[in-house]
Amino acid sequence: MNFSRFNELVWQSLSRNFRHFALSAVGVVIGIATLFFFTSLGEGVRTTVLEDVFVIDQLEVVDPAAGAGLRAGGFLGSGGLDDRTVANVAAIDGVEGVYPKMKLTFPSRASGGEALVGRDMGIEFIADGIPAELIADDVSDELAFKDHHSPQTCSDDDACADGHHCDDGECIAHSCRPGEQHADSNCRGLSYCHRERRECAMPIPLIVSPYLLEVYNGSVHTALADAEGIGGRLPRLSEEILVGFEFDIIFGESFMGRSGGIDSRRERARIVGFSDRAMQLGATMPLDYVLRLNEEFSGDEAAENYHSLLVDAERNEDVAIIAQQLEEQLGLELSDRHQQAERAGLLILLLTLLFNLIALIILVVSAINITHTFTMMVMQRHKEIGLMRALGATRRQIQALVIGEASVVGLVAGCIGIALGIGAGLLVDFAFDNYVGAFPFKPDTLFSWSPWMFALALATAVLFCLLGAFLPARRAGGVDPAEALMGR
Amino acid sequence: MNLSARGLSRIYQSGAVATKALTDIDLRIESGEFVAIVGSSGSGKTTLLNNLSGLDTQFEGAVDFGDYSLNKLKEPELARLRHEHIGFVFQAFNLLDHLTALENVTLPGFFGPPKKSRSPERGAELLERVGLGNRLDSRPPQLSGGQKQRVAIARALYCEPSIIFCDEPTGSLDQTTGLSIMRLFDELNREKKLTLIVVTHEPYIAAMARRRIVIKDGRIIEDEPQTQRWPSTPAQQAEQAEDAAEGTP
Repeated sequence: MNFSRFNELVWQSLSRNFRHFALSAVGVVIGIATLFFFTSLGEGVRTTVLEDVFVIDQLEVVDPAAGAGLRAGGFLGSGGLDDRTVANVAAIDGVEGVYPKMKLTFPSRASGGEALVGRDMGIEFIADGIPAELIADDVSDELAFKDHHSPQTCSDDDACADGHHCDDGECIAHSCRPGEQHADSNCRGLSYCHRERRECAMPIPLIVSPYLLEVYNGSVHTALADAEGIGGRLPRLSEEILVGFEFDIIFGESFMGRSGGIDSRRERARIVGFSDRAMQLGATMPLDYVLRLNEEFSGDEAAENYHSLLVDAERNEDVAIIAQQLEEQLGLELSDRHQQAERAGLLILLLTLLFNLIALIILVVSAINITHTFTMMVMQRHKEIGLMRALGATRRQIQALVIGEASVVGLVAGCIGIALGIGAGLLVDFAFDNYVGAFPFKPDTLFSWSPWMFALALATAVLFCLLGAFLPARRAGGVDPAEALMGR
Repeated sequence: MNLSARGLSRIYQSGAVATKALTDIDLRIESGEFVAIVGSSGSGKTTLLNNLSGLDTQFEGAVDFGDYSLNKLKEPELARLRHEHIGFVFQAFNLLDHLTALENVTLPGFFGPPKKSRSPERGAELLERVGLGNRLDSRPPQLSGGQKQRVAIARALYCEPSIIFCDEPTGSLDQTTGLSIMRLFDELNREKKLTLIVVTHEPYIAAMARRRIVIKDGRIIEDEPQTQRWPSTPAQQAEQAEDAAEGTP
């Protein structure tokens, strides 16, 4: 049978029985709208939670002994996370890269903020260090997240950082006078004049987690919005405002205490970018700074053991196996964040499945309704089907006709269901945007509409219509032309 | 193509009750014949038509249509045979009310391979041939009984069959209309050498065929060629009676 002529026949039948088909499709429309609504809601919430709140595109492991102090596991025992551990983790199949993280192990504080709020403020400074190459994509080359304070080799002045020149193959800082105007100083570009060393220096580059910005804007800024004093003048911050912002860090001294026997030291720092790899409540600098600072303020031992390792898998589907090997073979423990992410992801998945189960129940009931409608219509068209058989239609052609009608009903019902699902989503988004107050990580939309959802919804609609029409189609194909035409 | 039946029997089984509708029918119909199968109601004539046309192949014995043995064909082959070689005209017309006259005529074209000859133009030509060239877009409820049967005849001719089975084609029509339909059948038989098998219980319809097969209790009791006799229509009869009363010949 010619496809276009077959379509013509299907449309003739559909247009004749429009009301019956429309009524039988109502259930499918509701089911698909429900399915589409909850799938896109689940995906939207999951995206927000797992990509903004708990980042899961990386595994972070810690030494369990460091957290519990008692638990020892694997052949590493409680020896901590040292370079040998890094090598062992890197040897696991599917691991693409291992990046050690180390926290500052001595008190520090930060001071600054005049450029933002009109006067300097002080705050405890908590930071860690990660290999610079880990966030190469998150920071512009101009600001450079790299260790400026280690000795740099060079061939000419251009190879050195701002405020440095090349001398005998090594970058040497220009001397300077503190307090001198920047334009008159030897310290050009991004460099500044170090007050104690009286020479040009590059600020320590820092990256900050978007989470910290969200917590500030969603909670701190909201809570202090109407406060008197400096708190009431805190602005709402953004990545654009903060990148390039400079402040001082006083190492070895904080509001809570100071390092014993070591004089504190003031260095300038600059925020150079935002990254999910950064410490959530603090700042992150290149690892070499932390190694040197820990060695200087806490001793050699503090500079030998890392606090956690970030592990990148070659493929996403390997993450679970790698996590299992890290725990069982190496006795390491996944970080709380990862476990929280897994729990949050599981919870969202279960809720999505629960609501989709409701949608599927609606669809099953709809399929039964479609079976009923199509059966009635096949019975009503008994003689017509008998006539078609007499005119040369095969059983398969008659079955295809009924299946074709069901497919069109499914496609149309699927499209309407998707439109209703999107409409309901936009309505909820509007209410969420206008009637729900600001909170950390409040997303612009609760929904995520992906092409696969449209395909899934349409395929499900057609599938349930076909399931519903299966038995009636068989019945139609089995109509005996002689008996049908004789009215039996 | 010739049509023949040998030892054709048909038994309807309803639970434990078996009803023999046809018993040991032997029959041969040559290509181009115009045959009337007559008999009283329940004599088995429609069952015979269903078996000969392949609408019902649950029979004993053999029915051969040209080189095809009907009860040995698979369902798709049988459907194709009906589509390409057989036309049907029914007492109840069996037109689809939601389709126009032209769409009804071209309906068989949906079920076979696409052919240039099976076009709406051909459907329109056939409707013109049966005198309904001005009713292409009319739907069956807008047509009279005779017009409906003409549409059904055009539909039966659409795929250029070699044989047409007619089951009580005038049963739902008045005598005048019935006669005009039979004249149309006769023309088709003569012009196109179409084999026509007409089942009827009305003797005046049977008299128009050139061969008459009488069936009773599922058996052929008479099978003879006959000279066609065309009765006058009631209008002609009334005119003749009026003329007779006035003394005109």
